[in-house]
Parts: sequence; structure tokens; C-alpha cells
Amino acid sequence: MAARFKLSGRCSPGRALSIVLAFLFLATFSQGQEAEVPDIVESYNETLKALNAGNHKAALTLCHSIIKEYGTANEGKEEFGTVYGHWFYLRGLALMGAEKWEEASADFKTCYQCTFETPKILACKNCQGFGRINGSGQEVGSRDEDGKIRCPECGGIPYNPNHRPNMFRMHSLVQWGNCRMILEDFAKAREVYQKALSEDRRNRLSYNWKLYTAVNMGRCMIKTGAVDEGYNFIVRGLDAERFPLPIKLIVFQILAEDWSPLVSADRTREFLDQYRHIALSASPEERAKRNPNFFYLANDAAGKNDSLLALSWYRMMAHPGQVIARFNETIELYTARKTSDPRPEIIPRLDEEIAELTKARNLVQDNFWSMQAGLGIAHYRLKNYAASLSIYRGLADFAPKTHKGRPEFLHNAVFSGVKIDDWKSSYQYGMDFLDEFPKHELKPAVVRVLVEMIFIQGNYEKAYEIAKEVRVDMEPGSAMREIPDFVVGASAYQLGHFDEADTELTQYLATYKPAQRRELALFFLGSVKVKKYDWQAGTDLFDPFLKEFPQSAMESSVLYQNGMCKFMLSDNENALRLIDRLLSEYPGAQEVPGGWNLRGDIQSTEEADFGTEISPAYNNAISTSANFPDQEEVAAYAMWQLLMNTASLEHWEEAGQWFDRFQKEHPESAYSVDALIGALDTLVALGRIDEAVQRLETLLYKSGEDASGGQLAELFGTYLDFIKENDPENAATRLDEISLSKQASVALQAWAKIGKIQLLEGAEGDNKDAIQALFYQINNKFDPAPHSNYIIVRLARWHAVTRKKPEDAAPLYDYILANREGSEDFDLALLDRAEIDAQSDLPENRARAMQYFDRVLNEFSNAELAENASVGVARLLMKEKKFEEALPRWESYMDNNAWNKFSAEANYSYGVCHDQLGNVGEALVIYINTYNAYPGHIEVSMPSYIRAALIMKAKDEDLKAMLILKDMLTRMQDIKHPNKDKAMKLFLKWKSEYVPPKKEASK
Amino acid sequence: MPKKSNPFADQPDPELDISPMIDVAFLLLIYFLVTTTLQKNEADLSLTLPGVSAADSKKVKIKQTVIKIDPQGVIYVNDEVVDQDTGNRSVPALTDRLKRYAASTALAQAEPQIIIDCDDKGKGQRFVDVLNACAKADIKNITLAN
Repeated sequence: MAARFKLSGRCSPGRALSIVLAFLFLATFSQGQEAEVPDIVESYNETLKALNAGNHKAALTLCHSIIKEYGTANEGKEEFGTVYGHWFYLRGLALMGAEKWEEASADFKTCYQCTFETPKILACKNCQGFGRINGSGQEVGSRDEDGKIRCPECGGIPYNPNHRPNMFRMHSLVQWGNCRMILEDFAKAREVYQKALSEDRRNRLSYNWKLYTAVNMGRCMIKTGAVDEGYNFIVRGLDAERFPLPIKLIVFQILAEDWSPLVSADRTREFLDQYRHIALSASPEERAKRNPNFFYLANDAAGKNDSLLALSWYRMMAHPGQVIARFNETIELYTARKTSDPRPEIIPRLDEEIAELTKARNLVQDNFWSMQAGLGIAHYRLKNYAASLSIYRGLADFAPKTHKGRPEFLHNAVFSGVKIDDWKSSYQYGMDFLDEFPKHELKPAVVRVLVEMIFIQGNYEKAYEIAKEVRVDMEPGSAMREIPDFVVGASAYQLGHFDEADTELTQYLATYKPAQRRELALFFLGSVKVKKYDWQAGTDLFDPFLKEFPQSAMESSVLYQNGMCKFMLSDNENALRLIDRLLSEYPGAQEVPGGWNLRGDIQSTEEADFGTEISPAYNNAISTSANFPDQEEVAAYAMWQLLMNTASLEHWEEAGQWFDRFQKEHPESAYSVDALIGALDTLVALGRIDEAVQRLETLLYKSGEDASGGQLAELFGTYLDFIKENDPENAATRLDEISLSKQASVALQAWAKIGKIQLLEGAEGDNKDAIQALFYQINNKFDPAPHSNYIIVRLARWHAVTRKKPEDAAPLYDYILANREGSEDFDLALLDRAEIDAQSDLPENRARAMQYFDRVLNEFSNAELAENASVGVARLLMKEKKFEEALPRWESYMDNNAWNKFSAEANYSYGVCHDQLGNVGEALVIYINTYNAYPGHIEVSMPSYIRAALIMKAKDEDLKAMLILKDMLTRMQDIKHPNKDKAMKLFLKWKSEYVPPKKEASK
Repeated sequence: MPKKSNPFADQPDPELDISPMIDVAFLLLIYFLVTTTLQKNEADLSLTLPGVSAADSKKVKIKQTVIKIDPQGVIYVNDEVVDQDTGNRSVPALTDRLKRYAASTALAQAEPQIIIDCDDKGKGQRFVDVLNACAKADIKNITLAN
């Protein structure tokens, strides 16, 4: 800012003026100082020469030496007259060149004050007489009507022939004002400028000097608080035709930079609209010089969120590309002139110009990127996202990668791209940012926008992918990582990865306190729990959610889901309260149809009145579901429930109507099988058995393969029960027909054969051969791929148990284990396979058996299989003589009251473990208990008897040992067994050896 | 009421809460007790376990004994038939087994535990016979199943 006013305000005398003044000065000193003249004149010329050459230091040295020699202004003017003040003017200029504003200011003041109040000696111009002023300075003449002293002799104007006037007094005032202004002493500057304009009665100042002075004074007025006065004082110059363009540009600039920040944006825009053309009419080079100023104003406006004004200021800037081109053209021209122009003396001047132009061009180049960035921000704030993206894409792609603003360029490109769904750009620049500035302070913002905006836009796969990628390098629990952690969990939920979502969101809420996305995280985590049927966990999240976020946009969904949780937990009272809130407070919510269904379910469970509570709820579900797209299944569910309820009330006609409506409106519903199953009693009651069978068979034929063990298995079970009960005579025939039908899938054919096997197993008589034949049919070219696990396991067990060929069963189990993880009956295959391996003599097979048993125990909740697996593990440990490990296994079996299948073996083995570990006392008690509790299980009772007797014998309790064997032989007198023979031999031997104790003998 | 279904039809089956059923069973027990003839309690009969004295006893785990009564009144203990003569209400074999069991648990310093699994179609009188046998063996810790 100051530099500009140096330019306009200093107005150093031009070369011509200096030369003229030099002659005047020369003449004065030539007359008055003959001996000294050459020196002072020479000095004056040298000073001017130095000033014109910009050699302020030399000029200053010369001025100092003269003033030192001839004294102060008062001393000098006594000798030379007021013209001596010129030296102070010149020294002021030299000091300005040296930017010593205070000292310069003092010299200009001195120059201005270098004058006489009244002339001391006057001579008449005409008569050369003394006139009427005496030597003491007393006025002896008279003044004319203009106040000027006139010669009393001839009326001429008297003057002092040896004293020349100080011609720079007005200029000094102006320069003094300029110095004060540069020193931001605007009040003094204003006063001095005003003095210059009012005292210049002799028009010492040129027109342009006066204009500049007036303009600067106007600026000082604005700067000293006279905002409107200053504006009005100088704005007229913009309208004045006579005003030269350079001065108009200065006025425009003053108003832009000094006045506009003090007034409203509206007044500024009005000013710009009215006078913008003036600034735009300057040459590109001239405008380019002001680019930094306009850029500053634009940024200032942008900082005040006035993007429109910011854009107006940006518009004032010369386009850097155009300016640079002009600079380059001029530089080329000057360079060419250096060789084409014959005058060698101009070469230094040309070099100087070229250097200045190059410097200016480089400055513009540097400012170009900053200007673009500012424009981008303004467009972004004005929601011109396409424009801001375009600008920042240009900056990201073309600005030097070393530019200090590059992180912001990339960051803003990401933001702009996301706003207009240009994911590709956002992703590209976002990843560039993360690659180039992994530690930059803007990284969290980039990461966040990358992942969260993409998530919000519903691009869950992309959000999940990016969030997982970027968080790898972030410290867990850091602020930077919070949003990526949230997005991973929330996206996992949206993508149906519920286990992962569960883990991620739980960890997110535990790690970040308070979490920025707590509301959403709680909601998603609760929803995950519902999806995983973890009703208690769901309601444990939703209850606090409802308290913590009463105004949440998700409240309707939370009310519904929490109601579902409570219902599934049999808390019907609270479930109903939540659902009624949903229905009354959110009548337009998409959860309402489902809410009505849930209300119907709750009321059904509560055995409420069908007519007043249950039926209206389901009917409302049907009617409200029509208001939303994609809620056909809600209506289908409601119809199914109405069918079920009316059927249970034996309102067969009504139930039949609901079934018919269901078939008509929702034939492809996921509930169609349930609806048919639910309608079977109704169809029987209405005499529509054939239709029921036909519909069941139609569904069976449509079911296809059954690899997942789902619908076909359930449907076939229902079908088998139905035909057994309602058409028993033809059941076997129907199953045969299905098993032979070409319409039936391979899976269905196998089910039909298994169904037939079940019929035969339940029938009277010996059907083993027929069953065998059916298993052989199933086994023929058996490929497990299309079949349910149940079919495969049945066939495998037939191999392992009936045929005693575990080697044929093993591949079938292995198929399930390799391909059907997580499917129905997978645990059966795991257990059966483990039991086959457990029989192996190979340690690696037994190790695998142990592993499978452990999986059954740890991964499944089937109590029956767990009992088998637990015993399987204990048996394996016994087989490997690891009694210390086996002991707690048997103990845990003993502790479990639900397990009884292997009680006899468990008791005996428990005793064996103690026995083997040397705990003879414990073993004895257990053996006694075993033979007492399980005498019929001779595989455990007999060895228990014998081992108990042997222990007694070892303790020298011969009689008790014999009593134990006697008890055994008595209880098992009808049994033939090698152990019994062994017991008999022992008993006889001990009896023969027995010597009664003395006490007893004496008796 | 029909069995309710819901959109989460493939959820695991909930655990059966049998406590209400046990309440019902005890009500039935009271009913049988007042409508059948009780025999003399023989719990005070002494029982000598062959070969073992209390000094030998060790504290070990003892499995509960399961008594099943089939529809015909045949009594099973730990899956072994003990009393087939449904006309004999003294159930001597069961009584003997229970006394042995009680003695075994005493040796192990444990409480005898009995689970009675009575078929729905069985006669109430047979159930009372079993209870009498338990009383004779001084077994009071009885749980009803099914």
C-alpha cells in the first residue's frame, strides 16, 4: 500500500523542472558568492544529477556538506535569501529515496518555512532605488490596493536583487504530506495537503500535482474517519472527463482499498458496478500490478463469507495468462531491440526494463495459483461445485507439485468432487493427498470426506473399502481414525456383514468417548443385534437411545425395532407401549405397517380378543402397507396371520377366504409355504384335501435343490406328516411317485425315499430289507451336491452303522465339512466324523477327532451333540492313557444333570481315572457306586466289582473283598460272562486262603 | 392360538422353560397322593452295604439316578428294567436299588438325586409306588421330568 502512494504522492520534480531550477539556483549563487560559487553551484548540479539517477546516497552527502557549510535555513537565507530552502527540499527528496520519512518530513517542513515574513531590503524594479523600505526593514513606502508594496518613486514593484525566492515551498508541503501519509500520520498529512492546496496562490504546483494532492487528501480524510466526506471529495474525479486515467485509477484504488472495507458490502458492490469499467480499462500490465491488492480484497470478502463480493473482486484482477503473455511479448521485443537498435547507450536501459518485466511476470505467475485457489473457494461457498472442482482440478493437475498450497488444492478438489457426485475425481485426489501428505493436518478432513460422504451417499461398498484402507496407518483411538472406524462398522452393517458390524461398532463406542457419531453408531449396533436375533442386546442399546436422542430422525425405526426386541423377550407390555408410540407419533413412517403387524403379534400372544384387537391390527397392516413401495411382504405376513388366527378359531370359511386372497395377491411371497402349511387344517375342514396335497406337491416340485437344507426340508416334513395323517393308504404310493418322477429334483427324489424309509421304520413287521433297498437306491451314483445335509448324514450313518463301513461314510461327512460350513446339521457331520476318527489307530486321525469334538462343544449349542462330543473327548483321552486330562472331562459329565446317556460309562471311567492316578480311596467309592447304580450295565458293573474287591484285598480287608465278590456273584447269577468266571475264581481262592481274625475266630 | 411366526423365522428355537410344567406335575402329585393308598414307609429299615465301611468313604461326584415309568407301569432305573410286575406295589427291586444308591452317595458324602420320568399315559398309582420306594430309601431330592 505504501509503495503505491510513494509513487503517486512523491511526484519528484521531473528532469526538466530540475534543470530549470538548477539554472535559477546557479544564477542566484553566481551573483552573491563569487569566490564560493563554483563549489555550491557545482554541488547543486551534482545533487540534481544524483537525484535524477536515483543515487540518493550521493545526493544526501552533497546536501549534508552544503548545509553544514552554510548553516541552517535561517542562516542560509540571511546570506542567500529564501532560495537557500531549496537545499532542504533536495535533501528531503534524497531522504525519501533512502526511506527516511521522518527526517525527510522535517526537511520539507524546513523548506516550507524558509521564507521572510516581510522583505528586508527592497529595490524598485524600474528605478533601482531603495524604495520605501529602509535598511532596518521598516516599511517606508505604501501598499497598493492588492496589498503589494509599491515603489513610492515610480510605483514599481520593489525587490531584493541579491535574494531569489524559495520556489519549492508548496512542493515541500506536498512532499511533507506524502511523508506523513507514508508514516500513516493521516491527520497531519491531511492538514499539510490542505495547506498546500489553499496557500498555492501563485500556482507553483502544476495541475497534476494539485490533483494528486487532492486525491491523497481525500484518502487521508477517509483514513481519519471522514469516510463519506472523503469518498465524496474524490469520487467526483472518477466522473470527471478531464481527469487523467492514471489518477482515476489511483482514486479507484483508494476507494477500493481504503473506503470499501469501511462500508457495507452492498455499497461496495454498488461502487464496483458503477466504476468497475475504469479499473478494467487499464492495460493488462497495469492491472496486473494491482492483482495482489484485489486478491487481498477478494480473500477478505471470502473470509467474511461474502463469496459474491469475493468473486466481484476476483473479476477486477487481470487474467494472469493474458498478462504473462503481454509480459513475454514485451520482453521479447526489448530483447530484440538490444541487437537491432544501433545506439549502444540504450542497452543498459533495456536490460533494466527486461529485468523489471521478468520480475513482474514471475510475480504474476506466482500469484496465479493463489488467485485460482481463492476463486475456487468462492465458487465452492456459492455452491458452484462444478466450477470449484474445475478450478481445483486444474490446480491439482497443473500447479507445481512443490507449490505450498498443494495440500489445499487436493483437499478442495476432493470436497468439490464429492459435492457433485464425481466420486472418481474425489477418490483420485483423495488418494493422491494421502500418498503425498500422510502427516498433513488436513488428512483427517480428507479421510473423513472420502469415507463419510461416500457412506452418506449410499455407496457402502466403496466407503467400506476406502475406510478400511485409510485407517491402517492411523493410530487406533486417535481423533483422525474415529470417522473411518465408524464408517467401517456402519458400512459393514449396510452390506450385511453383521458380525463385523457388531465388532466394529461395539469397539467404536467403547473407544471414542464422546463419540461424534454416537447416535448413528448406537442405532446401527442396535439394528445389528436385531439382525442377529440378539434381542436382549438390541433392547439394551435402544432403551438408552430413546432417552439420549429424543429428537432423533431414527426414532420411528428404533421404536419398531425395540418393540420387536421386547416382544421376542416376552416383555409384551413394553413392546406394546413402544409400538403404540410409533403408531400414534409417526403415522406416516414406513415402519407403521410392520408396527401394526407387530401389534397383532403381541395381541395374539396375549390372547387378546381377535375381533377388537388382533384382526384390526393385521388389517391396518394390510391397508397402510399400500402407502409404501416394497411392503408387499408386510401385507402378505398380515394375511398369513389372519389366516392362522381364523383357522385356530376354527372360522374355516373366513380362514379359507384369507388363504384364497393370499394365493391371489401374494403367490410368490416368502410366506407362501408358511401360508399353505398354516392353511392345511382349514383345507381339510373345508374338504379341500386334494387341493392341499396338490399345492404341497406343486411347491415341492418347485423347490429344486436342497443344498442349503432349507425350505424343501421343512416343506417335505409337512407334506409327509400331512399325507400320513390325511391320506395314509396312499402315502407310500405318493412317495414312490415323487421319487420316480422326472419332474422331481434329485434332492426331492432323495427326500421321497427317506420319507418312505421313515414310513417303513414306523410300520409293523420286518422292513429291514426294504429299507436297505431304499438306501442302496439313494446311494447309487450319489452326488452330495444337491442334497441337504440331513440326507447326506442319513446315508453316511447307514454306511457307518448298518453297513459297518465307516470308510464309505467318511467322504460324505468330509463333503459337508468342506462345503457346508454354517449350514443345518453341520454339527451332526462334525460329530459323526469325529467319532469315526476317534476309532482310528493313527494319532493324527485321533488329533483331528479331538479337534472336531472341541468344535462341536465350542461352536454349537446342541445339548445332545455336546453330550456325545464331551464323552468322545474323554474316551479319546482314556484311549491315550491321559487320565489326568480325562478326569475333569468325566467330572464335568457327572456334574451335568441333563446328560444321562453315558452315565454308566462315565461313572466307571471316572473311577478308572482316579484308580490310575493312585487315588484308590476315591476309585473304590466310585466303583461301588457304579456297580450299585448300574448293575445291569455289565460292561461297567463287573469290572467295578472286581476292581473294588481287589482294592479291598490290597488293603488286607479280605472279608470285605469276598463280600463284594459274593454280592456280584449273587446279583449276576443268571449271567454268563468271563468276568463272572474271574470273580468266582478270585472268590474261591480268597476263601481258601482266608484266615479269620482272632476276634472273629474266638467268636 | 396357532404358533406365532415372525419375520425372523429362522431364529434358533428358544429354550423351553419347564418351571410351569414342574408346577403342574406337583399339583398332579398332590392329586395322586390324596387319591391313592399309601403303604408303610420302610425308610427306617437298615441297610448293610456289602464290604465297605464309612471310614473308607471319599468325597467324589455321584451322578443322579433316573427312574422311568413306561405306560404299562414297568419301572426302569438308569435304563435297566427293575420291576416288571406292575401288580406288585412294593417294587422290591427298585427299593433295593435305591437303598444301594443312597448308601453309595453317603459313602461319597453326597446327596442322592432322583429324576422320575413318568410317561403321560402311565397310571398315577405307579408313580406313587416309586415315590414310596424313594421314601423307603430316605431319598428326598426328587425332580420330575416330562
